[in-house]
Amino acid sequence: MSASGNPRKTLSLMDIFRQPALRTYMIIGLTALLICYTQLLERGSSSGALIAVLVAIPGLTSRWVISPALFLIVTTYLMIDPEMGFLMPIYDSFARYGPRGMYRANRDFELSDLLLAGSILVYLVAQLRLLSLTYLGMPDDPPPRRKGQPEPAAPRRPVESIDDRELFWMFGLSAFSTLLATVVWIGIARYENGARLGQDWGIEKPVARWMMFIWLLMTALIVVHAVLRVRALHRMSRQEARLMLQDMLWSETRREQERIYQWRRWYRARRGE
Amino acid sequence: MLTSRGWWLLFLILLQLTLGFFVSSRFGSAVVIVGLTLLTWYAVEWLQFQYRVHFVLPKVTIRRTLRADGRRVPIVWAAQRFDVIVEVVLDSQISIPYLVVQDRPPSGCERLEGRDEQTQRLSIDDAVAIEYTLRCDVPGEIRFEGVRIQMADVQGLFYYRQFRREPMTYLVLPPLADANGQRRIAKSHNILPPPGLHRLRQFGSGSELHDLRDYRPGDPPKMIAWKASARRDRLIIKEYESDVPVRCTLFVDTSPSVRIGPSRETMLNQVTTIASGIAQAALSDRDHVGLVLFDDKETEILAPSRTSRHLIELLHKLARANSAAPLSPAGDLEALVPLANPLAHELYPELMDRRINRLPWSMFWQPLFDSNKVWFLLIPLMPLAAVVGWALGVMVTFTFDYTDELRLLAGIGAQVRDLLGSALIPLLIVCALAVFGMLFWLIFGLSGQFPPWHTLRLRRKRLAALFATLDDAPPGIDVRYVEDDALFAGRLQLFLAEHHRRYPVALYDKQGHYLFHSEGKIAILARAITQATSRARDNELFVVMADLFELKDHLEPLTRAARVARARHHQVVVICPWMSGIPIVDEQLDAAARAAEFRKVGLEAGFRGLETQLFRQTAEQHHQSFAALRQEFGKGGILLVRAQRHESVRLILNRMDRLRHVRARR
Repeated sequence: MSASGNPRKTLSLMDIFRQPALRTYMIIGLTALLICYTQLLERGSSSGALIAVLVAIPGLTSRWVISPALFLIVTTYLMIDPEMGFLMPIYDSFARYGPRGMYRANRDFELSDLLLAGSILVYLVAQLRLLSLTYLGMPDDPPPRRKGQPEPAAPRRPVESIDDRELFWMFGLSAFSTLLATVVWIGIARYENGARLGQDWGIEKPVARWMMFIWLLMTALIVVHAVLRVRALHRMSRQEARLMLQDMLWSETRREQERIYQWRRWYRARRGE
Repeated sequence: MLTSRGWWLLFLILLQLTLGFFVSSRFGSAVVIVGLTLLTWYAVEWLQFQYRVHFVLPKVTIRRTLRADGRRVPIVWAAQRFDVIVEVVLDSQISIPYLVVQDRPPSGCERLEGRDEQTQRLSIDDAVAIEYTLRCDVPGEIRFEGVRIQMADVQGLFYYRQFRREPMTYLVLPPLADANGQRRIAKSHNILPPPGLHRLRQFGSGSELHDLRDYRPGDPPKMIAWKASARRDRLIIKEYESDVPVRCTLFVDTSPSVRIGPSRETMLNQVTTIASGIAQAALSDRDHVGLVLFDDKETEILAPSRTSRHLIELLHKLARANSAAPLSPAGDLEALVPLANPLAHELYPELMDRRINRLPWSMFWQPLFDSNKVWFLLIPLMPLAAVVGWALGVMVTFTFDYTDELRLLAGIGAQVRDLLGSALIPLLIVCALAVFGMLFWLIFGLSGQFPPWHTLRLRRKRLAALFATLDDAPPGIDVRYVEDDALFAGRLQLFLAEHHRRYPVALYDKQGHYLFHSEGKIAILARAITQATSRARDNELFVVMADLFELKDHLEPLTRAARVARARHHQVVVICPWMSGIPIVDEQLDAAARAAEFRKVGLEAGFRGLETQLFRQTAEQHHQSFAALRQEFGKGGILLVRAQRHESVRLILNRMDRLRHVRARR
């Protein structure tokens, strides 16, 4: 049985290449990395962009699980400091050359931001999908480890579980997310009332924007949570409902009932039962 | 709901987003747009997953079938291979991208082939099918609890677990000895009649030719012996021997004492197998077999009959009798709770959920006093409060240099000191005692927050609430479960037995008394034999299969009933199930040789030192009890034998043949 057929064997790079669906995800991820690299180059980051790509590639090819997290951290840093002016003085004399130039944006929104966000998202989706297919099928449920034995391989997801419409959904959702995020950001950036209100209270503009966003996010979360909770209450079984009511009664009368039974126990112990 | 992968990704996204908002005015909007993009995607994925959990997953249905020899079966036979097929079907257009379905095989079965787990994408077109092969060697019941379902999203960011509880119980009937239904090899007329009895043939409708006689008007033409008629020139009629059916009633002990032990080696398992063998063999000879199941409380009677339907009913009763587990009146909570708790979490996750089955912090508080109306004990603390308040005031005014206020407080202090005079010192002592009292109260109360008290109470409360819910019990029973150890231990045993989970059974109470004597069953058995005797038609065979080892001093009612039965020309045979692991030795051996034999067997079984000694004593005691029982029954002419599967069946069949001949002579 090949490694791709046995759900408990680790997939090698060749196994990934042999599977058309896995190969597709790898190619998509590498393409997204290439776009990301060009966008970072355009922003003035040369060596930094290379580092980001080099960090990401092992995740796609050899199941390095920390790769996407490192990639996100590196790209975020490069978006702020493309020439790595903060880090270069470590090996380049800060006293002689001083910090390199930081990225300066002219507007609230640029098309390159859109491309960068889209490429990062596509890479991340492809990378996580590959990890879910080649690494832990259910990330929080590794197989139990026996004492004195090596850690058994966690079951992978079968390649057959890939749906034909997944790619369509992935690209569609990525485009939708990028556009919606851009629209939301433009909306927040243009909404001056909130920022002005913040300035009246002595809060800086970015902080006021952040607070406004958090407020929006929390409101949305509360609404969704309430809807799901109501739905869950409606679907509650008779036993669950009974237990809930019984638990309420217990919490209200617990002390009194416990006292009665403790005295009964004491009486029975005294009688020698 | 979020996997570790989901958590760290969410953390990074939120961090990036926050950073992006703060740096957006200086370094552009790229960071915040990337963060918002990732967050939007994450939120959409989460919503999609939630939709699947709340709206798609409930449309998953599970169908379970058992197949043996290629066809669907409602029951299975012991030692027979059977396939379990679980189909998981989705009735929704929205598919589930990753589903792990795991069946929970019943305990007591051995898995021969296949896997009980299946992983795949579930859609309306593709059902998940789990197929595996089991074999159950012990007659009784097997119970399938349900199916464990885990689902996750495409990227592995979210997961959801559920146990779809669909309990199904199947009977495992005692095994057929062979394909022909354990038909005897030896014919009845090949067996020599017992000494002193002469076979007297009787006319009937059997198959063996008995005699020829002259034709009488009314005789059926098919009975005419044509050759003999031709020779003698007159009509001669053939007469056949009579087939004499014998009625046998099996008295099977189902009291708790025969249920103790590993499931494959219980005494009840032995007697069930023997009873099944006798019933099948006797019914294949067209003899009547009846069944009386008795314990220390009641009897369950199945009147003798000889149809195949009767056989199936009899086997059903035996299987049901063999399925129950023993309940000890002195259950050990420390052993039972760790068994029941994970089982409850596995089978009833929604009822053990912290959101419904709550664990408030206050329930772990250890109250020092029985009543909460002991606030008057706080009275000594009142002066303490004044002293502490005064001291704090002095510190504050001194720290912030409020000279006037400090002087005022100092004046108050001096006045109080002058006012109390010599009472000040005792007052301060009382205050100090009150402080110690409070500390003791606090430490005592908080001690409930630590194991083992905390763990035990936590588990007990949750299990108590679960039991009260499952039983539809009246309000307040959950508190009683928490406070009443005996009640809770009994319910725990019931819970474990209901779900076919083996548990340690306490055989002795705290005073060291054996708890499974079941003296009551002697009276019940004696009454059942008397009733059977009164209902018996002709010479019958009563086979008693009961554990009487601990009851050799209480046999009087039983021997009296057996004597009555013998006086009415019935036969009584007692089969004693033999304790698993106790060797059978030659009874002619002297005590020393027997002890050596027991020691040897004990060493072979892995016992060492004191264990060998205990084993030897147990075996010795068992043999002595058996000898005493045989002597007691021998006085009344009742045969007592050990339970040995094939020998016991053969013995009973021989007895039935004897009875057949005796009956024919009468």
